[in-house]
Amino acid sequence: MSSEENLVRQAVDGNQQAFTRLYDEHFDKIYRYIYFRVSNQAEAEDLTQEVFLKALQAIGSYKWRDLPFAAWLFRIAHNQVIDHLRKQSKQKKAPLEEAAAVSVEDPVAMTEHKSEIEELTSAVKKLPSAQQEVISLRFLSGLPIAEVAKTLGKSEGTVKALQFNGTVSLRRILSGKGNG
Amino acid sequence: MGKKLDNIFNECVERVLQGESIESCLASYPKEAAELEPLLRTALGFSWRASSVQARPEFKAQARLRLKGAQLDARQHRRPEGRGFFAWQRGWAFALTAILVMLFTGASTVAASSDALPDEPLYPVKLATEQTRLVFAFSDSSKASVHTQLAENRALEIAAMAHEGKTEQAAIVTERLAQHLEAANYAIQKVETAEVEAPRFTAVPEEAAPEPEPAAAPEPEEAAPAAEPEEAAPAAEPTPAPEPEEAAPAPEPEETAPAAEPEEAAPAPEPEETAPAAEPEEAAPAPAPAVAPEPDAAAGGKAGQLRQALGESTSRSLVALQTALEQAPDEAKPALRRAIETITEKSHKKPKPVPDAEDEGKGKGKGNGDKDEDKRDDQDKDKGKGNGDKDEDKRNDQNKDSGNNKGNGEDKGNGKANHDHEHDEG
Repeated sequence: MSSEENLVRQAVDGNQQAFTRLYDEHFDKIYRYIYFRVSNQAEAEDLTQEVFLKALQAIGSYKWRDLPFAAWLFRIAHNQVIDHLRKQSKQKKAPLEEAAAVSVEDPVAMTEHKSEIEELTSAVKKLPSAQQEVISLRFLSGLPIAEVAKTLGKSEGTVKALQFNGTVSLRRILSGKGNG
Repeated sequence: MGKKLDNIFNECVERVLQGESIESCLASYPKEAAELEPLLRTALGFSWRASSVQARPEFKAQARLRLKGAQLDARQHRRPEGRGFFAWQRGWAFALTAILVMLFTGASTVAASSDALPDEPLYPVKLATEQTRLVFAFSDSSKASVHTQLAENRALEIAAMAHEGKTEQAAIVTERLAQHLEAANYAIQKVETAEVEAPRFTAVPEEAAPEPEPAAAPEPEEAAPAAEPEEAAPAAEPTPAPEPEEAAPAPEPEETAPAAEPEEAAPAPEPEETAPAAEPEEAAPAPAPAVAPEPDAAAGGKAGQLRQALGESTSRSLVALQTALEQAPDEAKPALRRAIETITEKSHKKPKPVPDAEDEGKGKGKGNGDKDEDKRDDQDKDKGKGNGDKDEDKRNDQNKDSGNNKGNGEDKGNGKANHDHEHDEG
């Protein structure tokens, strides 16, 4: 049994320390995934908290054999993001100006970094939704293809195709040759 | 062409992620190397650059505290007999957390830290205390009030830092100020949404039910057509404490009844929650700029009050910064102008004339004004007008799956999988 599996089993049995360790381990990845999907720091923070609160509420019903833990968390995050975007489109609300929380304290570097991150988020947003999801889960969160497939409920072949096409589009957008 | 290259690309990504170099992987596929290399560099470069995006440490600390609170709460809920009678213990648990924070830091230290500046040893204590306030701000309206007040604190710190010529500190605090304004705006928008949506479903004003009923129906969106994964069911379950604004909405009867005007639905105003930030003494000398009338304030709703409080607070901040700008050493002026621009941008205000900055500020000022105008327009769209491009994109994005895959050779097989993409069914 892997150490994560062991930790997850303890968390499922109600061990709160185990859940906190899983939380610490996955927090940044989940935040980053959500940030790149919603492009707004305040919203990303709100949604990240909600993901972990929902995970805490539902951990008792989690079954390891169905879905790896990270994929399970990302599925909750994915659903949160979809709900959020749906609500946002209903409200016809324009996203607030984004402020990327980059881990840089030097103001000059922070500004440069911010514009770099803005460029990336805006490139990702130009991708079709399915490609966005795969690219975010794969390259931001580092999930293996099999887990991305389980998270999104798609076949591995489909995920590989989306990954490839998404990268081609991303390259085109980042090099200023098109909108994907 | 597609499939084979897909697989090779994926294999190389895996190999590089495991520590192999891009070159060594390309050497295994000399024919495809020319096509693969730029793609691998794009994907891995993206991954590497994006990895610098991290949650703010303050937010992480705050989120961890919330999680602890939720864990305590969950533990109490698991005790069968304690459920009804000890419901009050949730609040007690949070209070205990606060007491522990006080004990750790010492009440006098906390009090002394309230005036600390960013270059002083007690400043982290001040930030931690503020975070505790945010943790205890449960409703969106309290969040908005606290963030409004904290934004004003940051503005005063910027003025003080600039006055001392500490421009780097001022720039860092400006970032924090922007985050508070953004969070305040976001919270106010959530209050607005709740105000607009609530009356459609219930005549009871928001304040009448501050805590969602434990037996409240699960969130409609989540229970609707595409439900959460059945085995995981993290959201479809009747969760113990959903956010009030999530519990409220139900299927939208938009076609049958136009959205109720916020002022009609407006619950009785609650003066105590909108208590604005403390008066900044330093702000006194400069002429108080006229506060631009905020569109929602007239409506008299909670959101209107909050927006008005935010407007007044940012006006005070602007006065403090403009006064500081007049007195600051030259090297500190750009930092102050940046802070002023940040406030005007983030608070949806039209920029006010900035002394000493007119020459270089004119172009920018206009730009910001336009932007602000756009933002306000976008907000007004809530009330039933057209869409911003971005939103259009979003909606398109959500619908893109099917459309895009149709036109995209490699994705053709995805039609079915994508059909249910919006919510996975496990």
